[in-house]
Amino acid sequence: MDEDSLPSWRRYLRFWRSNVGEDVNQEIGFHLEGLIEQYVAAGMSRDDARRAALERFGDPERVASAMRALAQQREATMRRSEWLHGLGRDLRMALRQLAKRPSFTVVALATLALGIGANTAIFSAVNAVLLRPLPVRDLGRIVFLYDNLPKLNLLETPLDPSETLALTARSDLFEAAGGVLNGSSVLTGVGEPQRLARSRTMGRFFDAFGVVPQLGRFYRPDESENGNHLVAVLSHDFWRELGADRGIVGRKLTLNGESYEVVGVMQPGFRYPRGVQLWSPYPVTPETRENHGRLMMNTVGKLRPGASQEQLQAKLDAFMLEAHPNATRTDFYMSSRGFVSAFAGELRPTLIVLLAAVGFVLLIACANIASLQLVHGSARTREMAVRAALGAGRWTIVRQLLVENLVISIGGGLLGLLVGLAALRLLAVAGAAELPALQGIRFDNAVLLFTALATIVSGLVFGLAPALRAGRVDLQEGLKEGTRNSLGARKNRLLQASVVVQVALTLVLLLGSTLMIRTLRQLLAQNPGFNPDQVHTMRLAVTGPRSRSPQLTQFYDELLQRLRAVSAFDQVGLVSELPFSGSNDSSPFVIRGKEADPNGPALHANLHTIGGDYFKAMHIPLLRGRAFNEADIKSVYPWVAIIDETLAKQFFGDEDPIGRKINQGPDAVIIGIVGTVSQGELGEAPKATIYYPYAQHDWYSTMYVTVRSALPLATVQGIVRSELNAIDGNVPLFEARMLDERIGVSLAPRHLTMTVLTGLAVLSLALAVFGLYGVVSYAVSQRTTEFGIRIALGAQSADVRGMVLKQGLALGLVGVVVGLAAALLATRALSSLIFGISARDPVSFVGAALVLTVVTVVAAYIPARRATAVSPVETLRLG
Amino acid sequence: MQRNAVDVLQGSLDVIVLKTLSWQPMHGFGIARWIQRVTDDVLQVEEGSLYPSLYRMENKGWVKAEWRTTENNRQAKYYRLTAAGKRQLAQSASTWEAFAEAMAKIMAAAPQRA
Repeated sequence: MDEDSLPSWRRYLRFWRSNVGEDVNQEIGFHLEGLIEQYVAAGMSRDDARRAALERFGDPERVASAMRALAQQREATMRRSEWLHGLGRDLRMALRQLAKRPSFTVVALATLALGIGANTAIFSAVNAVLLRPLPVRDLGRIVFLYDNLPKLNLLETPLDPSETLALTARSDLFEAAGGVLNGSSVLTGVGEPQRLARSRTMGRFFDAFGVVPQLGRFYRPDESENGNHLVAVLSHDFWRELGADRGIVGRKLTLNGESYEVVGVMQPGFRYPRGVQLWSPYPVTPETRENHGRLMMNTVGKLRPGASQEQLQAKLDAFMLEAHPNATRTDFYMSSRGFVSAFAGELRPTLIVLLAAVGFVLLIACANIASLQLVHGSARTREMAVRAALGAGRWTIVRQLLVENLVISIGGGLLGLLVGLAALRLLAVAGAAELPALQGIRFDNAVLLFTALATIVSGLVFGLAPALRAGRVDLQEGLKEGTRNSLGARKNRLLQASVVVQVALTLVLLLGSTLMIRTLRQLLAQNPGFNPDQVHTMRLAVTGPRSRSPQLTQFYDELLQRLRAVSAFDQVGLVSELPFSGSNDSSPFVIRGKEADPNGPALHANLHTIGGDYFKAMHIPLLRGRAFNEADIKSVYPWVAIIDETLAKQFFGDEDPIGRKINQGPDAVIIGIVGTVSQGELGEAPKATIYYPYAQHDWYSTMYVTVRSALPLATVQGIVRSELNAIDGNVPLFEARMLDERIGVSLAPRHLTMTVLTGLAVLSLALAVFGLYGVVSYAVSQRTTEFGIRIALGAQSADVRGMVLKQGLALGLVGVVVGLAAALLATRALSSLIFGISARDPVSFVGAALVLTVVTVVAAYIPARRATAVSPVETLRLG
Repeated sequence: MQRNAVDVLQGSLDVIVLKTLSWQPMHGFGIARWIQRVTDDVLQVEEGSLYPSLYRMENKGWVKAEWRTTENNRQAKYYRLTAAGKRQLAQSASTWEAFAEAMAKIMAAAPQRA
């Protein structure tokens, strides 16, 4: 065997590490020799003795290989336990070291916990809203489809039902496509009458998402026709609200007075449209296919595997050309957008900005901890030097420091998880009512993975540089008693870099927050076209026989009569589509005498029916003509309409619209012009709107009641409720809110962005101040001797102070300049959230830069004063 | 070779080795000689199989090995019993006694009629 020929000195290797093969051979050899000697002593010849020994021993090679395998097993186990033991030792050592420096440990842990907590919270939101908003496979292949009428400022509107129907039949475009119309209905027969969020679907809506029923079945596309549409699928949440009865399939629910059969229950977690409680088929009649009408059907399609949105666009263009041969793209076109991005909607830019912002905060936190360590590291230079002198290798020292950092980062990560949970609860409490998308936020595995990753990466970021530096300790310098200048230029550069990074990133955050604050101020200064103060709004839904005219009109007549008699109500109005309620109804119209090309796309305008003193209650100014009066309501013909200023300017120009006829159904005579109102957002591009008395477009069975009154909302709601009960106790009253609260909701994404950005900016500012202060203090402590000499030689305290200050300021200014450059790029991400100012708004840039400069001066001034506080004699003696 | 020699089963080999080491540390060759002497060469151990058994018990922590010099001034690996090994031996011993007793009763039993 090879091992036999190894020189005997190999034995000594065993001192460090056993030599398995050698040991085994030696042991077997010893045994065989013993046996041979025994047989020889008993009188055998040497050859016979050797044979007998081998027979008694068995095959040495087989035995040896069994022994080697077992020995290797043992060595592997030993290495593992040694490694664990070493790690345990390092951990105990690290905990001891950290306990010796409680202030550093606490500050580092808190800094990291805040940084990681902020990241965890924001990532949870990103995960729930942007990454995986629905528990559905192939979400990336699902697109929303939109109509666009650029001339009318109608972009990305839902389709009209006939278009949706036509698209769902086109299997060359989609694997499956369908439409959904959000709405509500009133459930009776199960306790109190209850308003349900019901969505009516069209085509292969469920197939497009690839969802499966938890119980029962989904309805078939053909169940939308010939009056077979009285079937419903319950959402999982609603099914559980009803008691999670597995026998619910086949039961009947009374919705708006009609009896629907429950055919199935949706799989859990599928909440589209948001808040939906049940789905039922949109009834399709022959007219649905022919009439081109209202743009209301949200339409989704699932692309075939491998198909791109560009290919789809070409097909959509061809599809539109077939339907409207004379229309050009400037009149009318269809577009698509990825479901995930469209579903996240208004929150998307907010979340992306916030994710970047918390990333910055974590970087600042890491830079901060790294600089703290470098500063504290100087105090440990001697410790490291002693350990190195006692034979600790560079790797041992580096590993020790890395383990210390690991302890801090894991501790910070765990605390951060708690902070994140708390922040998330705060976010949910503060934002969920206004931002329903945030309701789905959860702590899932993706979030935990993200937090773990953030923890490890930050541990490396703040730990690696100081640890590697410490491993390079210079023995001679480190061991000299009282050496103050053992840091070297490299360490100073690292410290300076960390301060510059902190100041620069803080500037970017501060700037972002300033831009958002100014944006909100600009938005709030926008006139919505009405005065929301003291306007109470609530919604009602009429069902059953009362929901059809003429009973419906009579119901509204009576309600208004009763409400107007309430003396505490200044004005009372009714409106079908309240501004800032999220609902809108856009439908085609024609101006008599100005008919557009019949083959071209129809003109669209918002259609609102109103009643009572709606304009007065809202303080919407009447610009010309008159408001509706009792006679308009009593005599149904001729129809009358009031248009808004936008429509008047867009379509009549200098002509007088009063007396002209407009048609959005039957012809109606224009009797007045009112001011334009923002419908969904402050500062939005105005859209043409036409108002009618509720007695004319008389099918709106849900209405908003608007009451101008100084009473509290609950009181107003109570009064309206009791007046409603006097007519019909089965009419639910819901969504009671002050009008300005509704405006607040429309600002919620920007408000959230501003609030979180400002919080993060303040946090970073505090970190950066501490960072700068620490570094300047440290620099001062290093140069105490030098300052003493300078003062002894006649320098004024003010000169020394100025010198320190200048250095601190220089560092801060470099950070400010770097930050400004970075901000020029970074604020572009805010552009979709900014309103009324430029993303490079000079006021904000100068303001933020000034704030940081002042803060820098303050942070440097305190240590600068201390530099001159010690008497020169004492300083020199110390040196 | 003895005619009525008995092959030793793997499981019992461990017990025998533990018992051997219970008096004093010994090398593998010594253990083989001791077994030969005590059993009058009745138990036929293929002596090579002692070593995997020793190694296995070392992995389990029942015995500990170290290189020492013999009286003849040679290097040999000595094994000694650890505390865990002593516990193991006590446990195996009682199992063996119970087994041997049961075996003896079975062999001594007279045929019975029901």
